[in-house]
Amino acid sequence: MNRMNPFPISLGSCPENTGRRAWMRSVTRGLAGIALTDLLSGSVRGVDRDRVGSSGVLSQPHFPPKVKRILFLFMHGGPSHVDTFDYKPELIRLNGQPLPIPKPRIQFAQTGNLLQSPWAFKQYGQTGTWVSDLFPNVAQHVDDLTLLKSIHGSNEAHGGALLKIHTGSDTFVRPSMGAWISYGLGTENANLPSFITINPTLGHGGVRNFGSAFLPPIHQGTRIGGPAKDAKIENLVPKNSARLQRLQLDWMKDVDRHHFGTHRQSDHDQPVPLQDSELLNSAVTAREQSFELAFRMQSEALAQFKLEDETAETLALYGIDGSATDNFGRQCLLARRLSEAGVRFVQVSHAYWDQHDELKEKHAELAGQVDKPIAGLLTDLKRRGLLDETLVVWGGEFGRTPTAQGGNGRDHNPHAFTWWMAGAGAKPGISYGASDEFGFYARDNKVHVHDLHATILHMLGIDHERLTFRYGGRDFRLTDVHGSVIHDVLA
Amino acid sequence: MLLAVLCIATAFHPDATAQEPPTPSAVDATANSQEPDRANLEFFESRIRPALIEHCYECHSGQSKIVQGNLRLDSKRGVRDGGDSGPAVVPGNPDESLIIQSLRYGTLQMPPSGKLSDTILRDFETWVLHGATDPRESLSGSNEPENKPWRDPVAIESHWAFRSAPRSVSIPKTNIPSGVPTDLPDWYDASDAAQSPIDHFLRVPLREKGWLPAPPASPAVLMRRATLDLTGLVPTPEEIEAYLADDPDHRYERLVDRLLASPDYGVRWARHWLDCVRYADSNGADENHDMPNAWRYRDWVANALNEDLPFDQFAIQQIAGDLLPQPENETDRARLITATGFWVLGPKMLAEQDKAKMRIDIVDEQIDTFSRTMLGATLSCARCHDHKFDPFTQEDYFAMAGVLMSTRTMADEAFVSKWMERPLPSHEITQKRQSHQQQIDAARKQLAMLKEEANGRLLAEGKVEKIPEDPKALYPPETQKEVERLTKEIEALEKSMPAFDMSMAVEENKPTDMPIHIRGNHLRPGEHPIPRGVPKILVKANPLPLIPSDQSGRLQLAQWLTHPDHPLFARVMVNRIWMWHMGQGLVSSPSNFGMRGESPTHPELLDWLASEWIQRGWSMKWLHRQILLSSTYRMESNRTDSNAATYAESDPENRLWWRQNTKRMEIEPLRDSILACCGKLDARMGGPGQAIQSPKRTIYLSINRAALADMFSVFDYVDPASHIEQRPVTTVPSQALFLLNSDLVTNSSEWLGQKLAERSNEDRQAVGFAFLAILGRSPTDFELERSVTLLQQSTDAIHQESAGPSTPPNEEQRIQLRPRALATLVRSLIASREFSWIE
Repeated sequence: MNRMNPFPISLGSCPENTGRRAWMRSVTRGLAGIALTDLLSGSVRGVDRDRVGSSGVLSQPHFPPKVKRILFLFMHGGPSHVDTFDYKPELIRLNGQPLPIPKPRIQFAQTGNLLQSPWAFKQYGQTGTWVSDLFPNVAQHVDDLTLLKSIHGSNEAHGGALLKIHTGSDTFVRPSMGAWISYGLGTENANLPSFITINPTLGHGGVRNFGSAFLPPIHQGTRIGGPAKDAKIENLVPKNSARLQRLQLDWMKDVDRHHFGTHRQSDHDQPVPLQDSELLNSAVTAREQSFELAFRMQSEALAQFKLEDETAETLALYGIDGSATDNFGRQCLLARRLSEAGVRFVQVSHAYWDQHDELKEKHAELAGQVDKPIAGLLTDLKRRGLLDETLVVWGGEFGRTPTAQGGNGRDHNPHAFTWWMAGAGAKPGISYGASDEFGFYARDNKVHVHDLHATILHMLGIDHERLTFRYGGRDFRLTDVHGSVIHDVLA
Repeated sequence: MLLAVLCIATAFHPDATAQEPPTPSAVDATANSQEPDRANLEFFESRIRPALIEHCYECHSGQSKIVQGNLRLDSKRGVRDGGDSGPAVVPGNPDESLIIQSLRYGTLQMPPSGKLSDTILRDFETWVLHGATDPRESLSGSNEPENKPWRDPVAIESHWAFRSAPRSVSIPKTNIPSGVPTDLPDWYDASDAAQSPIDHFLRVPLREKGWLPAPPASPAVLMRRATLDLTGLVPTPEEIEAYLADDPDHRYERLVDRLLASPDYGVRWARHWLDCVRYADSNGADENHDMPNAWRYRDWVANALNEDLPFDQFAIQQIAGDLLPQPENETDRARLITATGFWVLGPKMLAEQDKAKMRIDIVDEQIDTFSRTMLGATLSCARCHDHKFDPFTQEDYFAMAGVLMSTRTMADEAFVSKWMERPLPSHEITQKRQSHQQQIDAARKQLAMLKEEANGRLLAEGKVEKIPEDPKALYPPETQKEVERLTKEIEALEKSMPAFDMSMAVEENKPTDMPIHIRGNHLRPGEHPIPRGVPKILVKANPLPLIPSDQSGRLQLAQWLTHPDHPLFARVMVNRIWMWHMGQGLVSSPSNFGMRGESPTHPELLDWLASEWIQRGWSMKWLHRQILLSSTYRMESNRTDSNAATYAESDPENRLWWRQNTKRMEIEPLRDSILACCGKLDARMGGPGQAIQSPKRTIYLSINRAALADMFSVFDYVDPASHIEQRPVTTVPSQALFLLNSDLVTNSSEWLGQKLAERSNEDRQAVGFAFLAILGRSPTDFELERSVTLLQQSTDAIHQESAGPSTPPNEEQRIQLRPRALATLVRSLIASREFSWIE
């Protein structure tokens, strides 16, 4: 904290969010950063030093970052782009007709003729962006969204596509995006992990989707498992009172230090006090600190799980009311709280958008579970000023075919799908790229998954080609040898 | 497929089109001895160069983000050498020039954005016809091909790891040279200096620096170290007492022999090997199917180690056990099949619908595991291009891929494909199946006779003229019933046919030589099949036996690998075993012995160990014994004498072995030891994978690749889907949370707290028992006093949780609370650094 870098990333934080945000705003406005830092380092403003984060491998970002944190809303299974955000009138006109263009060489399954969307599309907001009736609430925020309508991946099965989205590789074991970001930027709040994934799938690549692979394991995603009501971090709930734990930790400190400084050679039993405090520091205190952090995490992280601290109005905003929106609403609210507390990368997963049949019934049910909570999250972030420093990303592992599978479903389609972003870093109210008139293939301004990764890193101030890790004699990066930043969507 | 899409994606990328056209690279025509014909030169400059810049440089020049197809068109050399598909021009012959074919939009179509005008096409044809004059001599730009060190034959020849180790290495003499300090401390015993030839190798460089090795560790520390090292379990208090009471003369040697003879040895050391070969009990990848027979391979490894199967055989059986002469004994035959599970254990994209891609991806995974484990080489880098740093070419890669493509790993290629499992030979089951089959046959015969008779009657009685397809309904009721009964009986018998035990295993497939895949893309095969084989650089000293045309080549691969002249195999393995004992390898990049790997700190020692090991018949136990009996192994790790600080400053990583390393227990010995010292371990060995709550040893817990239990990943066993060269050691709060709050630690410490309270009602004595049970030693005075204080403070704290802050517990309440207070002490001891760090 003594030296100020031009683009502060690992900022200390005040216990109260308003104070922290005010502080960050003033810094990013370019005010006298040094004086301010000095003020804070003296704890004059009551900065809780424990909450100062630890920095990542980048001592300073490559570019001025537009965004500090990522909130990734992952729709597992593959939501249909042509039934949500990618309006295709041609499907209405040619409903039931054969697809007039060739189908891909590899298909997950055989599909039949074109199938029009069961949902009507309407135009919303100043921008008049088309959104289907599946997302009436999110549609209200459409002027804040950046739609990417020409995304394409390279794997037609869930497992490969999930791994591609999360790690950039469907072939090799690679660190996930969150792990790379944690590795690069570190954490803002040392009482919490820097990468948390809420309710992730354990199939389709499982832990690899939030793993750290060859990166140091501290960067792997901390999994909060189970339905949101019982969301938990493994072993976080103390089995003994804080006082008893404190006694244990103090004993360990004394005995470990004593033991480390004792020369126990059999023929001279006298303890020899350790001369070199460096040795003690490196070997013993690191461990002590990890226990102290664990001790604090028990209260800090558990506190973040206390959604009942929120007002009734906020709970209602997220649809936390015992209805179909309750579970995902809780996950979104928990995500906001963790993100606000300084967790660099929070992912929320929702399943299972894989409608090979019963598209109409199941997509309606799934959208009904997430539409209100997502809209609530966007509203909440905006009114708290958090949308100025957070990027929300929404999407699935692929889209679905405009052609019908079994009459009332759609097959996987990695050749075109839509994601959206909202918040700092992304240009609001635009649609970027386009699929063909049926929505089968990405056509204009195609965006590969690698390009998405490159762009998200860019918004965080990271040059995707320069965030590397040497492993097995080679430098690796999230985008491997690919990826281009989509400059047109940068705010 | 993947690469193809990516290439197209990049070629079309809007960002790339927005780039400024790159400026032409420096023209250095004068350097060319033959001045090209002036008219041709002008033609090139006015018609060809501008077209190349405008239409081709985006993807085919030094300024390209990715040079597509490895083809650069911004220099004469680039054009003439060409890219993945071959030279771009054949001067004088437009029809055979790839660049013309592409511009004409034949099989290749360039540029991808659309066919260029006929005028431009004619210009290029003219240019090629007149000799393709090109003044651009130098390549320039950011994508200048890397100066591969291995292009330099001298560098390859001199790389130590690609040359065979000598068949014998002489042991250096260790007369104390003059540089050694004369004021030796009293603990330094010169006769202790070299217990094993290993010490001679290590102490020469140490003495050259004038450094002293660390004193030997105390007997109790050494006993605990060796026990954990060889069996993965803390010694019991009884074992410690017996050891300390034993005659000091050669008691340590006896201990090592006892530990090596214990079946726990195989269990512990199998886990090291399983890390290398990415063992798991489920597929992971896309479809996380259980691998219910994987455990047979795991148990095979543990048995092989316990029996001290010579290590060359250990490798051969895994690579090609099914191709060896089949032993008489069916158990031995079964083992040879099970061993080949090595190839099958990897994660596979079972639902990949491009089955050709699935096949080559599986082969790739096999090459990666094989080459990193056995060769200490990253051969899979050469799938898409020649290796950047090591002399492995794409041809080398596909020579090996051919061997594995000629080996069957998958049983089928269904929508969700299934890997190979092979029945294990069993005379007993074969007999049972035969007699079972006889019952089925008899019942079938009975049914057939019944039907024939009934049909005959139908015809005889004139009920039908011709027997219909299913005449059952026409039979008399009692016959119908009998038919139904027999049909059901047959079904039941068929279902209950005794099954063979199955092992994941490979078998020979149709032998196939594979062509190179251009840029690793299976949709772009090269023209010429590459004969099955191994990397060329590695056959110089050690030729590959001829692969017969009707065999995959796995057997020859195994024979070649384990030949004493193989430059890598023995060294790589010796280094791993050294590392697993000592905490770091002599080569600190254990799975990369290539040009970018680390050099050995003590190359003669590495070679001596390798050559001597081979001489001793590849005995693992011989090697363990050599290492454990060395003075180097026995040194103290927490060195605190006055020299330690100086040495640490000069050699912080202990590369010179001036002390032993401390090692953090992996999760397996940690969990096993917690269970063991709290009396909860189920010591039974072998069998299918167990649920996480099982009290069996951790190696027997089912490893689910897609849902790895937190306990594993928290303690740095993160990824069971690929080769692990060495477990990392991190210190993260989730480990502390495990030691504070996990059920395992909580339950174990409560149980032991109760036992301690029963065993002694005196605090000092109970503290002594607790230290002995968990740390294997008595407490020091300080620790004793501090622990007694902890017991009292804990008792107060627990009491006040229920009774309120101001009431101290009375004596009766203290006695009641003692088990819980002792549990706090036990928990603290388990969480102490000393417990999980092997000194």
